[in-house]
Formats: sequence, structure tokens, C-alpha cells
Amino acid sequence: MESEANATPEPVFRVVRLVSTSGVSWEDAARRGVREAAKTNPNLAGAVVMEQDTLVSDGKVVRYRLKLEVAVQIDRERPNPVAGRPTVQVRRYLIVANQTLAGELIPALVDERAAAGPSEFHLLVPASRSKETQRLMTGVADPMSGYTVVAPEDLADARTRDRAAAEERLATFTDRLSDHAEILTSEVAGHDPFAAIARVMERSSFDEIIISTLPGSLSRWLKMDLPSRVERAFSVPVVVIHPPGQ
Amino acid sequence: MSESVYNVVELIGTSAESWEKATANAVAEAAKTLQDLRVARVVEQDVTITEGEVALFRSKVRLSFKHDGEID
Repeated sequence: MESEANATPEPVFRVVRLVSTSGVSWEDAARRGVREAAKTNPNLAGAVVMEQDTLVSDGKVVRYRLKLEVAVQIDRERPNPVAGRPTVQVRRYLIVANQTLAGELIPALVDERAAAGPSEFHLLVPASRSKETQRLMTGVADPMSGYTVVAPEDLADARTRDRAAAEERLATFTDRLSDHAEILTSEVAGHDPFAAIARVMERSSFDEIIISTLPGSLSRWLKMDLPSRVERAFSVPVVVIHPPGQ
Repeated sequence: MSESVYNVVELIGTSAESWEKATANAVAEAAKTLQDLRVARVVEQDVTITEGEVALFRSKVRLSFKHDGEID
């Protein structure tokens, strides 16, 4: 029946295993795991518990741990915005940016890609470390003893501030792109961009990775050869973009 | 009578709060019609998800009860 072009997508899933822990309960661990997987996959239907255990220290349960399986849609078929019309194929883009988040660079790119055809974007913001965090991580030598003394709470606080700053930058940015809210997901990740990309690639799939960074010697990411490392590791085309006029 | 026969049923209980409550809901429902329930075994747990958040905790519970084949 060729006249009946399929109007309903027939999805293909990849099963992703997650391990999440919580100091409170297995339920809390489940919520955290689901939230994590949903960052790149907004249409999750459910998660199945494969294994439950606890971590014990000094005879007491200190953490509840859960192994979950989540079915993540990996194909590119989506329902047509116009009801009853054949399904459409989307292209999925992963955009990695931090310092260059504020300019016109990424909004322009999103506009252009979205105009070219049905698209979905995931924006990944690795939270950079502030000078304070870096100082705390290197350790501060105590002049009397010569030992390095850093209160773990201070370092944790500094990291929390770094993350909050990145969350704020991202929020400002997504506000500006509210026209594309339907096709844009985003998240803040840890400091290491490669590790952040690897984590996202485990629970989703993309057709192109766009790395937005400062030009040349100003870019820590280019110094660590991020684009070619990512391309080699995930066999996905990588595009590097810079703000204009630098 | 040392020989017995048991019936086994499976029920799925749900709760927005926890798997414990989901299990208790399944058992409470079963207890309405079944007598002499002893052990309920949780054989599977999962969650349903709505808009990226856990919506319901579900427990699949296996219950056994003595087969009531004769009048005592």
C-alpha cells in the first residue's frame, strides 16, 4: 500500500545502561539517573531496574546504587509537524561551547542549520574552572609546615560556583534561542570537554559535532587537540567555529 | 496434611512515591480477594517517565497462596 506513506514513526532504540547512586534512597538514585539520560533524550518512556545494591562503610549503608536500563531512540525519523503527512528525517547536532556562548556565533549557526532542514541540537557546556578553583586544586603550601592545606569544602564550594556560573551563562543563552526551544536541549558538564562529549555520545547519537572556541592560541581546547581527538574517537564529522573578527 | 499446592499470581503495583509503596499497593489489592497471603516477592521494578522525570515507580510482585481445592 504505497499510497499510505507512513505517518507514524517506527522508532529504533539503543539500550543504555546507567549506574546512579544516592545517599538517600534507590528512588532518588532512579530520579537522578532518569534526569541524566533525559538531558539528551527528551522522549524517554521508561527505565527498568536491572540491579540494586548498597555501599557499606563502617557497618552502615552510605549509598544506594541502582543499575538502570533505558531505551533511547537513535533513529532520525520523527512525526511530521503537519498531522497525517509522512514522517521526516532529522539531523542531530552536538554543539560544544563555553567561552563563545555569549556572541552571535552559535545562534547564527543554529538558525542556518535549522533553515537547511529538520534538525535537533544539543548544547553541551563544559564548566571551566575559575582561577580560585585552579589555585585550590594545585594546593596552597602552608608556610609553617610546608604541607599543602586545602579544605575539601573550599574546593567543593569553588566547583559549585563554577557550575552555577556555567548554568547561568547557559540559561541566558537558551532564553535567546527560545524560538528553537522545541529542537534544543542543553546541559552543563564537567571541566574536561572530551570526557563530557564521551558521556553524551554514550547515551545519544549525533550526525555532526560542532566545537565553538576562541581562535588559535587563546583556545585551551585547540591546544589539547580536542577536535581531532573527538573525530577519531567517535567517527563523527567535527566542525570548529570561532567568533568573527579575532 | 504435609503436601500442599500453591497458586501463584503476578501483580504490578504503582506509586508516585516509592517502590515500597508500589509493592504495598499491589499486596493490598491482592489481599482484597485472596486469603492467607504469606510472602510477596518483587520480581521486577521499573519506572515510567514523563517529560524527562520519573512519573511512577512500578513493582511487579509475585504472590503465592495455598490452592483451595477442597472444603476443610
